[in-house]
Amino acid sequence: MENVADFISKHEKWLLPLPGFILVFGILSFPLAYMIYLSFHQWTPSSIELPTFVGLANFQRMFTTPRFLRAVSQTVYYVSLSLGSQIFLGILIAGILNRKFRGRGLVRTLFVFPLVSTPVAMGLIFMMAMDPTIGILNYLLSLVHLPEPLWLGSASTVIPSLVLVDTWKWIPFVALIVLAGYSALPAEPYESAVIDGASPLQLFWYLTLPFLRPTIIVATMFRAIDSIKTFDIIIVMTEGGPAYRSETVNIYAFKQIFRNFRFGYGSSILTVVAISVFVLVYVLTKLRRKKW
Amino acid sequence: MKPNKLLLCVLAATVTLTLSATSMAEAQVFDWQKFAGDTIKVFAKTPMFEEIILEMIPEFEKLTGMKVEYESMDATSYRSTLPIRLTAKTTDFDVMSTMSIVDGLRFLSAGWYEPLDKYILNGELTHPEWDFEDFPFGVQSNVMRVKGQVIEIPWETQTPLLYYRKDLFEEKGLAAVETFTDLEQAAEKLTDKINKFYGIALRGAGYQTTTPFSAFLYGFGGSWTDKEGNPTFDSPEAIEAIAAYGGLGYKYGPPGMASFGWKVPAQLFAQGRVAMFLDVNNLQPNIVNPEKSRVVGKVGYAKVPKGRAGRFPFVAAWGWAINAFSEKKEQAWYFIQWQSSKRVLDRLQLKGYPTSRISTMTSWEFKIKDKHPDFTRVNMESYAIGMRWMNPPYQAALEAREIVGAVVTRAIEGISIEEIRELARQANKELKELK
Repeated sequence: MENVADFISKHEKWLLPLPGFILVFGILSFPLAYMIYLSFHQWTPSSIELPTFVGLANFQRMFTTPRFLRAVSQTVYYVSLSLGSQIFLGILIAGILNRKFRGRGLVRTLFVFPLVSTPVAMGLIFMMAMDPTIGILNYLLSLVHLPEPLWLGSASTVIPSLVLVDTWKWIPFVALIVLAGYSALPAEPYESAVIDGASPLQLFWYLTLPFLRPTIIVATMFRAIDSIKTFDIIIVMTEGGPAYRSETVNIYAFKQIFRNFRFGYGSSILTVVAISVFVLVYVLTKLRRKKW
Repeated sequence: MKPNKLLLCVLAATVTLTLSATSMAEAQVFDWQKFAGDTIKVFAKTPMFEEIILEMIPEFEKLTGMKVEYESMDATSYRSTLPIRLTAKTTDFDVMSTMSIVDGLRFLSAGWYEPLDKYILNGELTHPEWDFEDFPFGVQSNVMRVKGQVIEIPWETQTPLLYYRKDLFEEKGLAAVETFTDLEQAAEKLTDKINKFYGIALRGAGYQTTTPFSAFLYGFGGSWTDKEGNPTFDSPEAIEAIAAYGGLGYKYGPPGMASFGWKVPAQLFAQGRVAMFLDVNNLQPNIVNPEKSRVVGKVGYAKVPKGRAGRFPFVAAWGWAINAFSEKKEQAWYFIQWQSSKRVLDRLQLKGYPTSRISTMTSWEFKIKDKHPDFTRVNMESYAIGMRWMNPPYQAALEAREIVGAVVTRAIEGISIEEIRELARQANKELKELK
């Protein structure tokens, strides 16, 4: 009994997460393995024909297809814009919500509302709001004599429009994580810095941000992975249009599999995406631990 | 044996044989209750008249003694989900929706359709009044048959037509649109951008554009393929058609038209923001519904415009098919023939949904109750000259639609004719590589 207790105590950090790990691995392993298997095959869904092994042909096709390369650049654009705005605004809003003011509890509660809204429903509502002719957004802009953009109807504004919707939904998530970081800030360094005459901006830049870095990196990691995978609002609002201009790698893969029925080619795209996400998570985890 | 007794025996044998034959014939009489107690499962792409069908399903259940489990999805989700389930040889549903013009070649080659000819010809399984010949010949050949086999029974007939504001046409002294030139002239005269009113709205979102664009393509003398099946999307006639479609959208269409899905032109027309739109006939019920439209009583209908090569409305339809892996195929056929029967389609036609039977469209009851006879006339005239190919005739129909649709979308953005030519050339090359 003592030996068992000692064993558990000694290997706690491995044993405690083990049940969760087994469950997740069990659920994910087959789809992942099958996806990698199909990556090396050509297969159109049929009850007659079976997958045909084609080696690296799908990967070769991917990296020589202009539409895929454009999807990659559009994904980078979408993720950068999305992350940049969400992290910046999330930190700003968390700072505001961390202050004491009247009604802070109510504001914090209402602020979470976008996070719990259904992405598809919100996408449809924003789509109507962004209609250049009868949408409410252009109507409001016309009242104050501001330019009325084409929103989802133009190549230059479609991705920023989608980012706007994504940011509206996910800012609360980033703000809540950063707010948790604010609650763990030590008081002594701030007291010393104030005595030394530091301004609010200097306090924020030299103390708050470095202390919040691990929290910000965690929020960035979650949002980066989610942004790369964004599917619901893009497929509902634009389906990757106009003329592929909002087609990210995820949307491109979806169309290859579920519209064009190229299961092998689509799987190879998703394999590359999965590897990219693993690399990104590794880099961000290293950054989180690195001392500035 | 004496001759009288022999004659009696022969007579008795004859009567006995006749009675037996008669009872056998009676045994082949159709019986709605043949599968009473069974349950069938329907997996549908949401039809426009779904609320009516759901109301009517209890009538089918009472008529046949069968139970119906009904599941439906929007077209995009349905088209993504169905092939996955069929690849797994699912028996989760018996009846499924299909649109043969898009699905037909692929589904047939994948072994997913149950051919329906044997059910139609079987007197035990098909009600004698069901009448296959009541479907127009154009519908039989363009919709119901793929490679000679009947695989779909349509619940509607889709054809494109021009919806226009007849009140504005009268006000401006405009004649009815007959040609593409008339269409452009009318769109120009009716556009008032300062007041955010536009001459015409068309679909602009990628693959969805092929639906109205096909009338332009063939009208200008182009086609999806040549006689050998090679794509001809970069022919001079096709380029002209793309430029015409794109030019209309760019010059006289609402802003953002490059992103318009199939619902948007009809919505803008119903809101009184555009003077015309060209799209399928089954959008009409919402246009004339006072709860959803501001232009009730002001809507005119015309056939798709004529180009130098003629007038080319397609004829297509969503309809029912039987899952090849179903274990209740005969029961599934009962549901399909009931839903496509004269009685049921009469009711849908009277509610304003364009159906596919000659008798429903020409019945006295419908003619008396028809609130939109001009709409019916345009439909019938379009069916009579209808062609099959709303999209390129490939197994990979959706992919082909996406390839050509992307070029049409770009044309709406106002690119030059040289750019259109180059994009069409690239698209044609991609079409050649399609399996």
